[in-house]
Amino acid sequence: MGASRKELLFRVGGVIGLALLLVFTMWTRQRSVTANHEGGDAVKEEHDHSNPAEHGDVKGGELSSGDVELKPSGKVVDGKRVVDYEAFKFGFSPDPLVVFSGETVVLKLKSRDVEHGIMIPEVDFNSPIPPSKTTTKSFTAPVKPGRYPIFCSTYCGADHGNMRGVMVVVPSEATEKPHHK
Amino acid sequence: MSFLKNMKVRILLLLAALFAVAVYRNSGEAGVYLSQCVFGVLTAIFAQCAFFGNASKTSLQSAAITGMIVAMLLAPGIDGRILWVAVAAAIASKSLARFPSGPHMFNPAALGLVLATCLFGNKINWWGLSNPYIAIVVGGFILYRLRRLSLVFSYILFRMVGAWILNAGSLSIDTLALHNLFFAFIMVVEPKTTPSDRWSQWRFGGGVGLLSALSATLISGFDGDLLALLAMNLVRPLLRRQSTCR
Ligand SMILES: [Cu+2]
Repeated sequence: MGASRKELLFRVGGVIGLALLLVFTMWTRQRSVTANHEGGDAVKEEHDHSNPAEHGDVKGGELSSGDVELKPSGKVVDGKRVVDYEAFKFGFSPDPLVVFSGETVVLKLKSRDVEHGIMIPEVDFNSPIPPSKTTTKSFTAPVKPGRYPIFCSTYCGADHGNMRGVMVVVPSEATEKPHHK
Repeated sequence: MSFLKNMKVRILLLLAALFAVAVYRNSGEAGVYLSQCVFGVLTAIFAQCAFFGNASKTSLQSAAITGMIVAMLLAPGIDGRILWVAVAAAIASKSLARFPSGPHMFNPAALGLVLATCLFGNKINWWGLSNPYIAIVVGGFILYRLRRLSLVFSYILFRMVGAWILNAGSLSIDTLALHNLFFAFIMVVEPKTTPSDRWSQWRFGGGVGLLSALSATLISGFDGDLLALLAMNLVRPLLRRQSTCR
């Protein structure tokens, strides 16, 4: 009797705990998505209200002072940024991948050795990179400038766990200022 | 220090060590790594309570191991819902997918991760293998005491043999060395879903290795190791029955 009541208690407690965790994760996700959108719209003042320690900021990472000077990778074809992006044991090239905020990025993915994968959690971009073949995939760069991690999503050898790259998103206003030659 | 004799505690410590190295290397994002692991472990513990209706120390330790493994294999900063689904499915499979004789069929973490891959695309990243030497030395010691090292050797050997056969035309050392060390030393060897005698272990590990090489060659962008492990989990009772002559 006591045992079955205890069991019921654990089951109910477990279900409630699971539900709370799910609600919590959806809530934090929602917050970070909203923050990301605000960054790009004309409501920049609004952004100051958000807590700088929130999830989206931690994950993205702030631009460091030198980042704005970085030249964007690849070249623009038909309004899209086309970049030859290579994976190798154990890294990516070019690294960092530099793009303007909010633009369409077309990656021509190649591997120098074995099969790799590429994953950019911030924009939910994911693709295998088989060897001896070019795979073309595109995504839209985040609106919010910052540094975003890039991971390999296919086990490729003993140091795979440390294989990563960076995507630096610079403000798109830089396009209008032709200060670089 | 008697708690160190507990296998589950040892495995948790091994995972914690690998986690610590990953955090050290990416200290700028320590919060992301930490919250992911805490979230994975909490989800696993709640799921364990929900599906089994009890919270014994050992069952919570198993749940924590599963939650930790899943969290350490999905990409850092991944959408929490994917992690939640993978962990909850992993624990649920222990309760729902059982052999008639009692034990659960599938390696829980592998099942949760494969399911997440099917639902959300491949978000598996294996960042938990932050240092292969820790996995080999500490993992090797744990497995020696657990009598599960044959699984590791057979997997690695047959993963190489499989790659060698399938890539006979264009064989390179890179292709040969694609056996996954985190998978070998931490996942394949889960005691409850693997055979315990040495001969069955060689068949089991060998099967995982060959199937893994095969699926890695045939299917791009899917984790062949995990698929191979689930397939061998399914046929495990056959392996044991045939080897009773030992
Ligand atoms: Cu890789």
